[in-house]
This record gives sequence, structure tokens and C-alpha cells, in this order.
Amino acid sequence: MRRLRLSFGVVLAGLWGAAGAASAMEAGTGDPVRGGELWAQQCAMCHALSPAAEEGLGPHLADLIGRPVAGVEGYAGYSEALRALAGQGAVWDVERLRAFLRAPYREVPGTRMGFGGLDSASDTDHLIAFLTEAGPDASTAESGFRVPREVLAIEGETDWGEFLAAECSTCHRRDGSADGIPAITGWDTRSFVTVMHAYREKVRPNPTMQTIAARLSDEEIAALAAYFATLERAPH
Amino acid sequence: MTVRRRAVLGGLAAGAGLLAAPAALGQGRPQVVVVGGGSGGATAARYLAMQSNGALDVTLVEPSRRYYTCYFSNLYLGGFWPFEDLAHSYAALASRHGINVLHDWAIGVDRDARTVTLAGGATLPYDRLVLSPGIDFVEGSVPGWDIAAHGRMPHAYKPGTQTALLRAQVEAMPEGGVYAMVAPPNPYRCPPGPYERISMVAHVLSEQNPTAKILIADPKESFSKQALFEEGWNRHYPGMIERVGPDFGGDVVEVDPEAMTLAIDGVVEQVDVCNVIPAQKAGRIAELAGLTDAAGWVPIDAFTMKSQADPEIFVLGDASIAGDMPKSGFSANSQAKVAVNVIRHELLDSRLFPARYANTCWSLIATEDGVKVGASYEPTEERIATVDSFISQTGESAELRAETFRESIGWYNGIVADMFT
Repeated sequence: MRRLRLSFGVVLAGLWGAAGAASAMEAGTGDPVRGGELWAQQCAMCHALSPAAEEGLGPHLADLIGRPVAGVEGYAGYSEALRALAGQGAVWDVERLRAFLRAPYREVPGTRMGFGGLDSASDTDHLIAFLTEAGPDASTAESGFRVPREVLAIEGETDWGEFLAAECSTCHRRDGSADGIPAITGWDTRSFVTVMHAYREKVRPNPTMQTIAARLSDEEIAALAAYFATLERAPH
Repeated sequence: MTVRRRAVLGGLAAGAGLLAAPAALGQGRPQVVVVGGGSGGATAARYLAMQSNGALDVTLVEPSRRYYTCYFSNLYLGGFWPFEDLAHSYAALASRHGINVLHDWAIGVDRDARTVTLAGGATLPYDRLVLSPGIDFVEGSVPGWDIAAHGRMPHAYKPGTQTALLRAQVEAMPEGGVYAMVAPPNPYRCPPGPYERISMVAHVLSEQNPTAKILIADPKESFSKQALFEEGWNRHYPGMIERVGPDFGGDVVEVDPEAMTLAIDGVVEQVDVCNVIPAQKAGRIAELAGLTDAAGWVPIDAFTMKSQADPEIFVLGDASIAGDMPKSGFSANSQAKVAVNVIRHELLDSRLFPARYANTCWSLIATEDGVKVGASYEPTEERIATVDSFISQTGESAELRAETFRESIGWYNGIVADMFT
């Protein structure tokens, strides 16, 4: 597992360096270097930046800005909600993306993405700046964290998960509401497993979650994912 | 893991039937009485009811009709949290979960008869008893102070009116006045609590009364998150806070509530507010039940949260000697879930999972300057032992500190939902 450890933010920071500051101004308020850190922490375990990359849980996000919604041919995982949006001719322009990244479940109820949204408007701008720049040459982003298929395939025991979930629900609310700490109910189990493994391998940064995840076995993570998938995502 | 004794269920139902009690609704169902409606007790009662689908008769004994959290009461002192948002109702525990919520004092435990006596006269039979009574103060631990003086020198270390009183006193301080704190010796509830409180008082004074001073008499060499607090005090409140540790007599104090003086190692200071946080011990019912050690705390079995003196009584939270776990609301909540798992297994033959514990304590130092410390724990034969731990670092970015603060709000709303909804 540990082979997948990546120091992605560091790599990007090195690549962009001083040039990042100048292009940040052009793009608006976002800082693509900071956006790259967010990408590594929040997105790269499920999405790639290149069409040629090994398929993750989510579609690749190469040339995302301006791309039709649900527009990656051959990606089978789009939710009904995104397909319906695509049917209306929707495009991932900056405005739509900004709203979606802040509150995915509010903007596209029914999305299968296991991510509750970015905490701040400035983080959203940073990530969009990164995605804008990352489009043409995404070769730096191929080292995204991946959980092996056999681990993703583990069938979780729901009642074990319910017991383990007691540790989560001190902070994460079972009714799916969230403020300051993300909602984790109703997630796609593979997203849940991927995110927990990313904490366990310390790819995601939060030390509380790293500590919690550090002692969870693959089976325990699968059990938690199975249990939380049974809980409803709160309507926003 | 050691092999745990399985409870013998025979005869319990008959025993329950013999004793008249307000909770007689549950005749025939195993009876669990929970004493204390705080982070340990409310969580235990709620999970017992929620996870057993009516198969257990759960009674919660708690004198207060509304629960005021200790956590975030410092944020109220600092003006960051409304007082009314510290208060929580037991209504959903009764109406939604079917728990018998009795607003009464538990004044005795008969361990042979397995009954709890209430001040109102009722006798509650139990098959399992959960005590989560929080803390009491050690009489005489701060010479010159006793509980009768808490109107002039508040402890504000049990939630509610004391917190409001302390804030009123801070706001009434004269220009350039002195806020004094007598900090408690270990072990005590909420290790970073006194120092977060200092931070919040300093925040208020720096805005309203910037020439005021804060004086801490501290019997401890060091304290929780010390480097983080001291860094924050230097940055946000330079020159305002003086801490006198044991090297300089911080452990030799005496107060005079009438004269409003604090003597540190014989040197008498006139002060305007004196927040006395005395030495602590387990809430009195634990002592009355005969479960406490010489220091006044309850030794527990790390695998189950059972009292070492009585396998039918579980003791949670601040009152227990929980090894490496700090006395915190988060810890109590975590311990409650372990106890519930054991109780359900013993009374309902549900699946027994191995115990695991966790804690995180967030503290606010200044506006959006949040820090945290936490760990995961596991039982060993000796104690509850740390598996892995973390702490915020000095020199962190303002962005990360703000995120940590937002996280603390999420935690607050999460844990009270986990107790009361």
C-alpha cells in the first residue's frame, strides 16, 4: 500500500514555483500552487488529470473547464443526476464548477462523488486555477493515490460497521448534516474506502482522521463504508 | 483480549418485578440505569436505547432539566458562542428513544440489592448500572475557598450559571484590573480548559480593558498544549498574562473571598476576579457506591469500562481512571460506546466487538486561532493505553488554524447531536 504515497503538492509547488504567482493573477484570485495541494489532498485519489491515466473512481478531469457535463466517453460511473444535467446541454464552466465544488450535493443532488465540498470560496478559486492550468499538460499528475481493486472489492459487514461508526459519529452526524466537519452518509462505498485509505496512508492531511484511520484494517474500512452507505444523505 | 465473564441472566426479571419503581414500564426487560446526563451518561442512555430497539428498559437519572456543556463554555466567555447554544434538552431522549428520564439526584447505590436510591424517594432496580457523575471538588484543596464562596470566587468548572457569573465579573472589571486564576492540580476535567479560558478572557480584556492583567497560580510544572498556548499568548496578548508555576510558589496559594485577595507563597495580591478551580475527584455518587480509590477516582477495567470493584457497574468519563485518556467530553462519549457494546452483549447476547477509544480536544486561543490534540487508545491489562497521537504545531498558518476552529464547531454540533437527538 505504501508504495502509493505521493508528495504531490511538493512536486507541483516545485514545478510552478515563481511562475505560479504570475499566472494566478491572470486566472483571477486563485493560486494554482495551493490548488495543486488541494487537488492532491482532496481529488487525486479518485480523479486523474490525463485521459491516458489508469481509470480512477471518478472520470479524468483533463481539459475540464468548458467540457460538457458527464462528457468523458467510456466512463461508466456517471450518476443519473449528472447525465440528466448533460441532457440539458450543461457545460463545466467556471461558474458551475465553483458552485459544484463548494456544495456538490446541493448543486447536483444524486451525484455519486464522495466529497462534501470545499470549505471556502478561496479554496475553490485555488482549485479552479489549478484545474485551468493543469489542462494542457497533465503529465505531473499521474501519481494519484489508488486503492487496489481487490481492496475496493471487499464486502463490508454492516453491523460491524455500525459499531465502528460510533467512533465517527462523535463528530460526523448520522443525519448527514454538516458544518465544519463533512457529512459522510450515503457515500458510494468505493469513494468512502478510497478516502479512508488515503487518510491511513497520510495522503490526506487531517491529523485527526489520520490517527483514526491508522488503526483501521482494510476489512474495518469496508465495514464502515458499507454502514455509512446505508444512511441517507441529508437533503440540503 | 482476556475472556470476559458472561452475565448470568436467570432471576433478573423476577428481581425486577419485586421492586416497585417509576420505571416499572419495563418489567420483563433487562433494566439499565444511567446516572448522570452528561457526555458519558447521555451517550450511553441514547445508544443503549437506540441500538437495542426497545429490548432494554433504560432509565437516565439527571437532576438538571437542561444540560449545559462545559466544552465551548470558554468560547461563551470569549464572546464566540451564545450562552443559550450551550444548553441542550433531554426531550428527544425521552420522546424519541423511549428513555425514562428522571430529573432527580441519585443518593445511594445498594450493590447487593442492585438498586439506586433517588433523593425523591424512588428506588430503581438495575441489571446493569452506568455511573457517569462527572467531578466534585476536593474540599480544602484551595485554603480559604469552599463551595459557599463560589458566588464571589467562581469555579465555573461545572457548566451553567457559574459560567455566566464569571463572564459578568470579567465585564465588570475596573480598568487595569486583575483577573486571577487558581489552576487545578492533575488530574482534572478538560486538561486544556483552564488555559483556553485564560485565552478567552485575554481576548475579551484585550478588546475592552487592554491594560488589565491576568495572573495564573499553577501547581503544575507544565500543562496541556503549553507551547501552543504560550505562543498564542505572546502573539495575541503580549504582556497581559503572567503564570506563576510551582517553582515560584504557584502551588502554595490561599484566597480570601471577602477581601478578594489571592496569596501566592505568602505574597498577597488584591484581585478583581478570582477564578478558583479546585482539585477534583469523582462525582459523589461514585464514592457513595464504594467504587473510588484513595484519591477519589474510580479504577476501571480497560476492556469494558466496568468498575474494578463491581462487574455490574460501569463508570464513564471524568470520574473514571481511564489510563492515558484525558478527562474530556469526547473521552466520555467514546467510553460510553464501549460500555454499551458490553452491556448489550451481556443482557441481549448481541455481538461483542473489541473495545477501542478515541479523543480529540480542540481549544480556541484567539479569533479563528484553533488548535487540537488527540489520540486513539486501546485497552491493555494495565490501563487504557495510547495507540497513536497528534497535536497542532506551533507556527501553523492562519488558514489551518481557522480550519481547525471550524472543525471544532463541527465537532461540538456533532457530539451534542450524538448525545441528545
